[in-house]
Formats: sequence, structure tokens, C-alpha cells
Amino acid sequence: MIRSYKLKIIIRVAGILCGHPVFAQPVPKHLDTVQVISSKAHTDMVHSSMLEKTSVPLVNIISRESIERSSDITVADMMQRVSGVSVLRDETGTPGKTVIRGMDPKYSYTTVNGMAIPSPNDRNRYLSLDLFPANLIDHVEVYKSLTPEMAGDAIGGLVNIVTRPVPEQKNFSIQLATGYSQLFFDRPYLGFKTRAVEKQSPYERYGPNYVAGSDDFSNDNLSFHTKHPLPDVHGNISWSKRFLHQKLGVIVMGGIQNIHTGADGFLILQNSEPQPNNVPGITDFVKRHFSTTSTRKNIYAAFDYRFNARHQLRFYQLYVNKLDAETRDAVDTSLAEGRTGPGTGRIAILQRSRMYRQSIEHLNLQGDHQFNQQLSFNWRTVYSIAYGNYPDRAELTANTGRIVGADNEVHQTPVLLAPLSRTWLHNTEKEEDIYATLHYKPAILKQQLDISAGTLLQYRQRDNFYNIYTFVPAITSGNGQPFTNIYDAVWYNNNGPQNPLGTVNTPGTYAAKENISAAYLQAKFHTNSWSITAGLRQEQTTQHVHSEADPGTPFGKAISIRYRDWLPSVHLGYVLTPKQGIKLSYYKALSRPSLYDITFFNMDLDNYNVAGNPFLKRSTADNFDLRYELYAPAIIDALQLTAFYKRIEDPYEKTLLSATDTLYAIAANGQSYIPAGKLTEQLRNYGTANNLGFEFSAVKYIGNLGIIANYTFTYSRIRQTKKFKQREDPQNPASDIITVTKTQERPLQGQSKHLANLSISYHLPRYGTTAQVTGVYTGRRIDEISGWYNLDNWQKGYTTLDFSLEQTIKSHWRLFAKATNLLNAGTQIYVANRMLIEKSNYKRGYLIGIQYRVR
Amino acid sequence: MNGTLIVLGTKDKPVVFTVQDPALRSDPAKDPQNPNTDPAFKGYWGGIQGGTTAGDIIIKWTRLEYLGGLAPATDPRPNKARYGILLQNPNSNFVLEDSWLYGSFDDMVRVAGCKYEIMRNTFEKVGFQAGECVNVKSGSVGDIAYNLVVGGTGNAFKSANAGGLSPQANMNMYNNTIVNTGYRQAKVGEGGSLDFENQGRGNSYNNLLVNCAFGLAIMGANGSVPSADLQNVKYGYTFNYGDSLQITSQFLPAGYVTEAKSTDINGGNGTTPGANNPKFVNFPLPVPAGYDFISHDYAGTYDFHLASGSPAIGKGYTEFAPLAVVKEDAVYGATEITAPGKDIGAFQQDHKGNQH
Repeated sequence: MIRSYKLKIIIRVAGILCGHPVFAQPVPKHLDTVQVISSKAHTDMVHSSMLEKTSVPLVNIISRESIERSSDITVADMMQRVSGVSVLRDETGTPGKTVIRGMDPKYSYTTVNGMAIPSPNDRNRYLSLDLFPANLIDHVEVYKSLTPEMAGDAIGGLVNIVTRPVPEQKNFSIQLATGYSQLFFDRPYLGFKTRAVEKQSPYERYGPNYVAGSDDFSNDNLSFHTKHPLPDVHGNISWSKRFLHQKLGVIVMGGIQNIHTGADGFLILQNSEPQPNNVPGITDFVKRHFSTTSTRKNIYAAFDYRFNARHQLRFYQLYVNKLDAETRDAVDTSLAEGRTGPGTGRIAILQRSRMYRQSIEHLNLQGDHQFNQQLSFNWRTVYSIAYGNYPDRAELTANTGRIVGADNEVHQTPVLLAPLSRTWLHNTEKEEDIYATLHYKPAILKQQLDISAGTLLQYRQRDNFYNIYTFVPAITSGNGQPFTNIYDAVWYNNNGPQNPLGTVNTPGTYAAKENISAAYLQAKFHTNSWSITAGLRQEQTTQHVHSEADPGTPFGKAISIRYRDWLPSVHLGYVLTPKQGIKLSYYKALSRPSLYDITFFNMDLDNYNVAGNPFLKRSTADNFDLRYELYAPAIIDALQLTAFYKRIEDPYEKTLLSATDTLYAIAANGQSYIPAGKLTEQLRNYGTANNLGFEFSAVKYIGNLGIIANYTFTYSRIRQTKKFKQREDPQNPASDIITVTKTQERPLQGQSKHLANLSISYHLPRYGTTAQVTGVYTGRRIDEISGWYNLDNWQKGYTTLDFSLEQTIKSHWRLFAKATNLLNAGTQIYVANRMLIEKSNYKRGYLIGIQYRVR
Repeated sequence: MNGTLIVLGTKDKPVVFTVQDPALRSDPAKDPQNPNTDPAFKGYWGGIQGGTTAGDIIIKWTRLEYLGGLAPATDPRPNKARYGILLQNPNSNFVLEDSWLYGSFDDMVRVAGCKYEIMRNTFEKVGFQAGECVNVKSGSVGDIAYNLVVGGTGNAFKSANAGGLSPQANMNMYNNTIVNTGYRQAKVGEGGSLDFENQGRGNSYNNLLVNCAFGLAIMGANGSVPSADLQNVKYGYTFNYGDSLQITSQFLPAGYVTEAKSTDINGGNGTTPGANNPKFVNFPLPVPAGYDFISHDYAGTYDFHLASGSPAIGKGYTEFAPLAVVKEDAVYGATEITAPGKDIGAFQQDHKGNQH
């Protein structure tokens, strides 16, 4: 008898069971057995969609396949394609830091494989994501809500970089690429001898009693020359294998990148105080050119040992190193001094050489143990060191002018050498973490209840060192010293620095310790249609900071801060249909100010002060999310609609204080408080900020065409007091000009109202060709806050367009090419809505490469 | 300094603040000397730094020398030359009378908040490559009169309302004699004698500017640069003198909005070099060829009184009053707030004015 069968195949997609009818048709013949064995690669985009769907906290994932298809160079490059995330570009247009859901980078944090990393930056605790090259990455997760087992300082979100695990099969890959920036086709690169830079200052080399002279300072790194740079080089190699009956797995990877970037543009400088009615007072027009070489090196090694199916040990070592050598070439024309028309005025010629080295060494040892069906235990211990080093940062300056003379003609005055400062800055941050979690699934509830409890202990220690030498030119002829080059410079004070012993104990030199101990309890319960995860996390923070203080002040050497936070969270999931689901989540998070900002530092910048604030409170936030998901390949492969609301308590922002405002609530000099004394910039807490928005994210494949579209709308508001200049009696022009306070409402810094990106790819699997066009629109946003009313700096909205191409040849070879920034999207900054104060162009970048891969 | 400082010298017995070892001092016999080696700029000590809650500083018949040492690393201005005298409390009083200020690396007097009377002093060798004799910032109101300035590097007197304090920077500047100023300054365009900018207000009357690199500079007017408070800057009766075209063509500095007044002597930029010699008792004008302005920065044995027949005599404007913000008192206030003089410059025929 012949029966027709409906063949229903259940496919395990990446280890997750999903009922997904694949064929459903009458079978005319008699079939015996059909074995279908297949597995979707862990790295591809469908897998990521599944991970996003099943995740308890809200997450967006960038898969390995997406990274390769876009030929991303660093992790920051990929972040532009995530819904709700925009990137901040540095002075040469390279993406680095991220703004998640309109929240400044200080409100989010980065982890590597779930563990926090210390920062190589001298001021901030967050890092720039362009430290991590793409070749190390398996995938990147952007979490937008937190469960109790995750560290609580993510008000905006959490970026988790997941490095490559040891694969099941042997694997070898070598990749080589080259590239060039259009900028250096159009103009030469200005460079200096980076090898000439002294890594240590004379103080560090010879001790605190050494009297430094001009011979102790190198000159070759202040001698600039033009050249056409060599093409960029990108190379990486990786190898993995399993030994001992698949028990021991090893993966080793290394990579190097040498990239030349630059920027051309101008900047208009404003006076530190505006004119009456806050009309900006502009002082200078600066034409600038940047030439930068970034060198990245990385080494990654991971081992895992499987004792058996239940016990596994894993160890990895990650080392990333980035060196930026940058020349900034500028001509600064004063618009106020000696200026009678275009082409006249006082002029300063500046050439700055800067080397910035950042590195992170990260060691991780972890164990996963499944004792029985109910109980499992995970532990981890992590040790990391982050270094930042800015040796011999110096800007060679000369002054001249084009002034109308006695004959009514414009004459150029002699070019005279100006004072020179040379700075050494380095910082070290060491971190030791211990993490342990216990999972318990009581048998009584059919494995539907999962209780976990755990702890995370973080010990961080930071040392910052700052050393500056100032040189004043001797007067050799006329008004000063005619400038020829650095080698012929003659300095006052025995041809040496004004401070031969070096100036070390400034506020930039400090030592700090931060210990965070956390414990959490979490329960997860799910049925076929419902899932609920709820729990509580407790974080205890202790901070100690030590810096040298001015002997004239009775306080400031040591600071000790302690606080405890309770962070609850609840996540609800409801399956409407097998294809549709709703998620609702609430979590509480916090954001800690950086250790530098909570010292008593006080810098007098001639017309105003900048001061630290140890009384700064950390921000906390209540975060709500509602997400609707649809995975229906017939209509749309993936659709996510998310609405979020954040209520942030005690956000901290840059504020301007008047002379009589309270700087510190400490009694001194017979007063109950310490006044600012003059115009002072300080971080202060403000009542509440509100941030809400809507994210739309869709993925659709039509045959060979793939479309990924994201749109985010964000609205935030914060109320801040700002300063305003006016006449005491606005009707009387003879009355005094005074500074008053006004309240201003504005969006949060870095928040764009509209963000959108669109990726269209065309894939021909038969020929192994993929082409992709990606466009990213970043709406206008505040670039920098001003303490003056209505004088915030706004960045104009811009659109970047990238095109990438991939071609596989004979299964082992892969060719790829990429052109970035096809629309030459630069940066434009406006103040008071009308006045352009900064413009930069980066031009296009090109990349072409080849990969050899054996699996 | 957070309390009150009262230094009372007399004409016969002035108080002297100087470096102890005579070998380190600047030898007047060597003048004119190379500023690179002249000990006047060495900044052997910092100076007098008043704090934001300091009391009054009263200095009379005192000699202050070699100011402007480097601030230490823990100071808010680490590694920068200190100001010779710094005032930061708008409620305090500052009296500087009949004194000598000799040699500083940067600003000699920075008035960043106080009520001041700066009268009848002599400033020499102020600033190595930058620095004003008196730099008036916000929170400061007062009179600057009858001072002699020789060889400053930047402006002699400047009013700029920076720092955010109240009241607005106000400088009532009259009857000063300023000679050979603005030459060691590497930045061109301004910084030769007198300056109003960045919402500073005040008056400038009866000032005698001799061979200064730039004349009275008043910034502003096109609305975008940080202009002076133009509605409240009143000036006139300026006597300019220059020995070269380079100097006479900058009596009204290029790019500034200072206008020639009919009450000026040698007003405008079209004066013939050497015209209207002010006829000092002992300071040869015109200067000889090859004269080096940057090293002729001292008063020495020169006598800047006006000889008979000087065009400055009787040309002063007297129809205005000093601000007189500090009380008159022999010990706790100003000894004499001298009214505007009949002659232009610091030295008067009737012997009121500068007593040096």
C-alpha cells in the first residue's frame, strides 16, 4: 500500500530547537529512511537572528558573516550598522566611541567575552572601540537591557566583544590587504621621525634632581617633512586545531594593520566668554591638516580543555596595541589683532607632533562545570593591564603677522619662534576580577525554573603620570628670535627649559583604586508561551584617589568614596505565535564618573578655571523596554520594533560657575563654603533627564537580494543652568556688564533625533560573489556642551556610504574590496544654530585584499 | 596671601623686596643690557599672590624687584611664571603708590578683582616676551594715574572683562608717561601701550606715549570679535611721539577702532617722525640711529619731567574726576588720589603727580 507522507523535518539551528516546517508535500514514492545532517555555521546572520530572538535581555548581534561581508577593519566600524547606535569619529574621521540610544559613551561600557576591561585613556573609563581589530572577533553583542548577572553600569547599553572560540575542525587562514586614502592622492603626508621620540622624559630617565638641558630633548621629532606615504598594510593569520581526541583545542591568531588617515579643514576659535547677550566673540580662524599613521598589532591565543561533556576549562590571552603617530599642521590667523581685511592679522604657525600608544593585555581563565542535571557552576578569573602613553607631545610654534604698514601696504613681519611645551603623559590601569555563578534547576518544576546566584569582585588600580617642560625662546634679534627650524632654536635659561627639574605633581599625576564587589540572585521561569526572568543585583563601590595638592589648601590630597547600589530587573517574554513575540523589560543601572573627574584638580587657564568635583554623585537610571518581534520569512525575515524609556537621576554635565557660586561645600577661610573665585568649569549633577525613543529594525531576503534597514528615533531632555552675559539694566547702555544664570533645556550630548542605516546586498552563491552597499545617516546632535546659554556646539547631520565586494575562488581563496565614505561625509559643527565653527574633510578610503582559508 | 598686607615705606626710606645676594642683581651700570642675560627677568621670587578671600594690599614707597618666578606643580597654574602682584577679591582694596616695580617675567600686576588706586609708580623691565604692567580683569574698578613705564614688553595698561566677576573691568587711566614699550613682544598687532578689549570699559586721557610699538588700541566694532565695551570707553588728549615711520604709522593700531581725536597731539597715523618732541629734561629725543628698543627698558638716571617749551604743558584735560574707589588714609587707604593734571603725562609743572 502506498501512502503519501508529509515529510516534516525538524532542524536544529545552532543548537536551538525550533519547529520549522521545511518541506510539506505529498511523497509519491516509498521512502525508507532519509537522513539529513546539516548544521548552520555559528557565524552567519541567521544564527544571529536566532540568538537575538531567544535572548532574555534585549540584544542586537553583528555576526562574523556580516563583518566579513562589510570588510570591517575595527569593531567601531561595525557598530554603525546596529540599530540605535551611532559612532563618534575622531579628528581624522575614524569611528571610535559609540553613542547607544542617544547616551554619551560615559553611560555605556565595553566587555570582552563578558568581562570588563580597564581603560588605556588618561581621563575616561570608557574606551574607543577602534582598539579592537575585526579579525579577532567572532561576533559583537550590543545589549540594551541588563539581567542581574551582568555588571550594572550600562545605562545606554553594553557592547560585548566575543572573541573567536576554538572551532571543532582544524582551521587555517591567512589574509593580506592593502589600502589607501584618497586624501593622500590629493596632497602629501606631513610626518616626523617617530623613532626619535624619547619614550621617557628626562625626569623619568635621570630622577627628580636632574637638571635637564636642551641636549636631553630630541629634535628630530619636531622636524617635519612631506612625503607620499606607502600604501596601508593589513595582515592577519590564524590557526586552530583540536588534539587528544578533541579534548584539547588551540587557536592562535595574530594581526597587524598600518593605516594612514588624515583630515583637512578649519576651525574658528571663540573667546572663553561671549559678548553681551551671548553673542559669540570669535578670535581666530585656524586652517588645519592632520596626517596620522595608526599601527595596530594583536595577538590572541585560546585553549580549551574538555575533561568530559560536563567539565570544561578555558584559557585565553588577548593583546591589542595601537600606536597613533599624528602631525597637526595649522595656520592660525587672528581675527581680532592687527586685522584690517582678508589676508591680514596676527598669524601663528603651529606644527604638533603627537604619538599615542595604547595597549591592553588581557588574561582569562574559566571553568564550566555541570554537576548533574540540576546544578552547574561557572567561575572565571581575569587579569588585565591597560597602558596609555603620550611621550613628548609638543607643538612647535612661530608667530608672524601681515599688518598694514606706513605705506598702506600689507607687510609680513619676521617669523619669530614662540614658547614650546613638551609633555610626557602615561597611565596604567590594572584590573583583577573574580567571577563565580551557580545555576540550579529544581527537578520539581520540570526544568522550567532556573535559579542562579553569583558574585563578581573587581579590583582596579590606576596610576597616572604627567610631566611638562616649558621652553621660552631667547631674544636674538629684533623683537625675538627669527625662526628657521628646531635645530637652530636657542632657549632662554641656559638654552634649557624654564623648569629643568620637570613639573610632575600637577593634578594630572594621581593614583587611584577602585573596588567593586557585586552579588546577584536571579530566577528564570518559562512555559511554552511565557518566560519571566527577575532578580536583584547589589554593587558596592569603593574608590580611593591620591594626588599631590597645593600646599596652600588644607584638603585635597586623598579622597575616599563609598556607595552601594541595589539594581533590580525584570524581563517578561510572551510568545504570541511561533513567529511573533513580545518582550517587556525593566532594569536599573548606574554610571560612575571617571576617577580623574572626582579629584580636587584645579587648572587655571588664564581667563577661567577647570576644577574637579569629588562630591559628584554617580547617575542611576530606570530603564523600560518594549519589543515586538516577527520572524516570518514569507513576509519578512526579521522585524523588531522597540520602544524604550529611560529616566536618569543625577546625570552629570559640564557646568560653568560664577565667582560667587559654591565650588566645594567645605568650610575654609572663615566661610562655610569655598567659592569658585572666578569663572570655573566643573561637572555637576542635575535633577533628572528623560530619554525615550523608538527603534525599527528589519531584515528581508528576496532571492539573491538582501535588505537590512534600521531606523531609530530618540528624544531626550535635560534641564541645566547656564550663564548669560548682559547689561545689568538692559535699557541702560552705561550700566555694568554682568553674568547671570539662565535655565536651558536641551537634548543629551551625542543624541541624534534620527538615525538610519540601510544595507543592500546581492549574493550569488553559485559564483561566490557578494556585493553590498551600506548607507548610514546620523542626524544632527550636540557635539560639545557649553556652560553659556544657547552656545552648545552642534554637529550637522551627515550620511556615509560604503561599498564592498567579496568573491570566493575555489573554496579556499577569497578576494575582497571596499570603498568607504563615497559621499565624502565630513564634519561640520555649528554654534548658536547659525555660525559654522568647524569643518573637516576626510575623503574616501580604499581597501583591497585576499584571504586563503583551509577548513 | 589670605590676610591683609600693608607695606609703608617713605620717600627717604623705601621698603625693598629684592634678592639677597648682590651678585645676582641687575647692575644698572651695565644698562642697556641684553634681556637674555639681564637678571631683571630671572624671576627670583614669585611675588605677592592675593587669594580670593584676601584682605587689602597697601604698598607705598616700596621697591619690588625680580618678580615672576615659576609656580610649582601643585599650583593651579603649574609651571607658569607667577604674576608680580595678584589680586582676586572684588571686595578688597589695592593701593600701589609711589613705588618702583622693577623686572618681572610676565604680568607685573594682575588686577583680577579689587578696588584699586595705582598712582605715581615707576615700572621698568616688565615682561620678558609677554606680560602687561597692569592687566585689569573683571571684578576690578579704579584709577591708574601718574605712572612712568619704561621698556615694558606688552601693554602698559590693559582692560579686559574676563573671568566672570562683577563689577565689570573698569580702568580710569590718565596722566601716564609710557616710553619704549611693546618691543620684546613676539606677537605683532597690538601690545604696545594701552588696550581696551573683551568688554572692558574705562577712560584714557592725558597719556604721553613715546616710541611705543603700538598706540592706544581699542578692539571691536564688527560685532564678532570680543570688542571692548565701546559705549563706555571714553578717550582723548593722547600725546603720541614716534621717531620712525614704523612707529608713527601705528599710533592708531591697524585693525582697531581707535579714532584720532582733535584733542590728541600727533593724532592719526600720518605724523612725520620726530614731530612735536615732548622735550624731556633728560631723555634724548629723537633716538640715535641703531637704537635698540628692547634693551633700552630702564629709567636709570633719565629725567622725564617736561622742560619748558614742551608741547605737553597745559594740554591736559581736567574736567573729569578720578573714580576714587578707595578711601583716602595714610595707613589704611590711598595717601593721595591725585586729580587729573593740567599737563599731559605723569610729571606736572606744579610738582603734583609722579614724585620720582
